[in-house]
Amino acid sequence: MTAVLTPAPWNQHPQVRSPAGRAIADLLAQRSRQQPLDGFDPAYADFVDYIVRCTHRIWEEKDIGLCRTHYANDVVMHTLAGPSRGCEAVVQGTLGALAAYADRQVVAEDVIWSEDAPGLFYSSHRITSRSTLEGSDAQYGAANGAAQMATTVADCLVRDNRIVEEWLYRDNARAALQMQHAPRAVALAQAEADRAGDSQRHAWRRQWIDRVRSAVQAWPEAGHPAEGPMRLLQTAWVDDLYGQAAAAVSPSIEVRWPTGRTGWGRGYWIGCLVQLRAQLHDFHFTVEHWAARPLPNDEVAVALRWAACGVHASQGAWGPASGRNILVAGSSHYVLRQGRIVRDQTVFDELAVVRQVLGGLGAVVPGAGGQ
Amino acid sequence: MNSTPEHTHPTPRLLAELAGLLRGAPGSAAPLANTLSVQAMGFATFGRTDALDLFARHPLALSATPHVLIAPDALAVLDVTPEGRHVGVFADLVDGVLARLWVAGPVADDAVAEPAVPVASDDFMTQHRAVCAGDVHDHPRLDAAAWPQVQAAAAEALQTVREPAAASSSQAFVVRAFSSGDAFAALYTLRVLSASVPRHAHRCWALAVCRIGADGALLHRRLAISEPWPVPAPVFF
Repeated sequence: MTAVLTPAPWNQHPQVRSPAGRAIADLLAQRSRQQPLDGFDPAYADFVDYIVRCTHRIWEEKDIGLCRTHYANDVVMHTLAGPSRGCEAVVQGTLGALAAYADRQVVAEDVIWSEDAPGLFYSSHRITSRSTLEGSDAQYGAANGAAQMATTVADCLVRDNRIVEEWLYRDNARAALQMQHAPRAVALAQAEADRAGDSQRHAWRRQWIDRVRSAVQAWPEAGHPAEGPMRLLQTAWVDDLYGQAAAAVSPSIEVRWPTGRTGWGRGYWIGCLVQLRAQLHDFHFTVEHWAARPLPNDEVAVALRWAACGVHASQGAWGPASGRNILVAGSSHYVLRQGRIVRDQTVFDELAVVRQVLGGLGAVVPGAGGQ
Repeated sequence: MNSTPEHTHPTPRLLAELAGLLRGAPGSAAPLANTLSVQAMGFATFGRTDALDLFARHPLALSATPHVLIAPDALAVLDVTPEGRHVGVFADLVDGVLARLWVAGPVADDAVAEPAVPVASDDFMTQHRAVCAGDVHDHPRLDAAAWPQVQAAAAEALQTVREPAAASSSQAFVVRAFSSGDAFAALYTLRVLSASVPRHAHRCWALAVCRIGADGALLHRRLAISEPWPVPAPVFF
C-alpha cells in the first residue's frame, strides 16, 4: 500500500482466506462471490481465488490465452533483470516456460493482499514452483530431467480482472543450482551479453536506483501490522542497529532467504541482513509497498516490497568488490504471532545481483558517468 | 494411545491420516495442505506431492501405541521403533489439515542438503550464553509454568548430541511448543557446533514430550533426537 492512496482496512473481508494450510480440493472448489469484485470474471469468488485460480488455469490447465483477459494490453512486468511490456510478452513467456517445463505446479503459499483504492487490488503472491526440464530451456539447455523448486513472489496491481503492473522476484540462483549450473557462470554469461548492443535498454536500472536514492519513506496508518516489520528493517539497514532490530523478532525466528539460506534465531536473521549490507557502501533502502492479511491460527502475514542500492565496495558473498552501483529489489513475507515476527521469507533474484556485480545490466561505475 | 480427554475425537482420525502420509500411501485420502512442507529423514520438501513421494521412498511406520499430544493447531507424536529408538513427529494443523511436518528420527542414507550461501551468525549475541533460544510469549498455547521445563529439555537434548559435552557453542531453538493438560510438547532445532578447530556445524531436530506437576516439577520426559542432518554445500559467487 502506498500512502497517497486511501486504503481499505488491512483485515477487511475476513471470509477471504489465505491459501496457507488449505487442501487443493478446497482451493479449487467453486464458490459464490465472497466479496465485491466489480469488473471481475464471475468465476472468481474473491480476490485470493482470482489470483490462485487464474494462475492454476493458465499454468496447470494450460489455457495460456487467458493471459489476454487477465493482463492489461500495456502491462509492465518488473524484474531485477529488466522490465517486459505488454500482454503478448506475458503470453509468449508463459508458452516458452511450459514448452520447457510442462509439469510446472505453481503452488500458492500465500496471497497477501490489499485494496489500495476502491476496485484497485494489490496482491503479493508467494509461489513455489515444482517443475521438470523435459523440453529445451534457453538458459539451461536440453531435457535432462532436472527438477526446479524455486520460490517466487509476484506482486500484482489489479483492476477489473486485469493485472496492470507486476513485480516478479524469483530465487533464480537457487534455480540455477537445481539445474546443476554454477550461478556465477550463468551470471557471467548474462553480463557479457548485456554489454553488447545499445546500453540504453538498461536505463531502467539507473532510473530505479535514482528513485531509491531519492525516496522519502511513506508509512502505514497507525496500527497496521506492516509498521513493525518496516521499522525493524529501517532500524537494521538504515540505522545499522541490528541488535535493536532483532530484539523485536522472536529469539527462534525462522529465516528463509535466497540461494538456500535457511536458519533459525536472531543471530542468523542479523547475519543475512549484514551480509547484504556489508558489501554495499552508501547504502539506500526503501519499502515500496506493504500489505497484511490474517492467517489461520491467529497469525498475521505481512508483505513488504522493497528496494535497496549501494556501491559494491567490499568483498563478500557476491565476490570481490566491483565498485559498481548495485540494485537489489525483493519482497519479504513475514509471519507475525502475538504481534512479533516468527518467520521471515525473503525473495530476491541473487543471480541478477551477481550479474550486475559482473558488469551486466548496465552496471554503473561511480564517477565513470556511464551506465 | 495417550491422548488428552478434551481432544479424543479428532485424534484417531488425525493419527490415521498422519500414518497414511508417513507410509507415503499412494492415493492417500488424508487432507493434506497443498503447501505441506516436510522436514524428515534429512530431506526438506515442499508441497503435498513431494511429501508423499518422500515417504513412499522412505516410509515411517508408527506403532499401535504412540504417545500423542494434541492441540487445536498442532499434533505431537513420540514413538519407539521396534529397534528401541525414539522417533518424534510434530505437525502444524490448520482446521484439521496437516500443514507442516517435522520428523525427529533417522536420516536416510541418500539424504543430501540443498547447497546454500553460508551466513556468518552469532547465535548468542552475548558472552552470557544460554543454551535455549526461545520465548514463552511466542507459544501462546504453552502453559507459562512449563517454560522452565521446555528449557531443561533443550539442555538435555544438547547434552545428548554434543561432542564433547563441554565448552560448546551449540544452541537449541524452540520452534514450536504447546501444552495439553499437565503435559507439553516442544519441537527444537539444534545447531551443533564442534568444539574443535575447524569448527564445523550441523543441525538436528528434537521433540520433547513431558508431564509436569502442579508445582511445575518434571514428572516425566521423553525425548526423540534426529541423527545429524546433512550439511549444505557452500555456494560462493
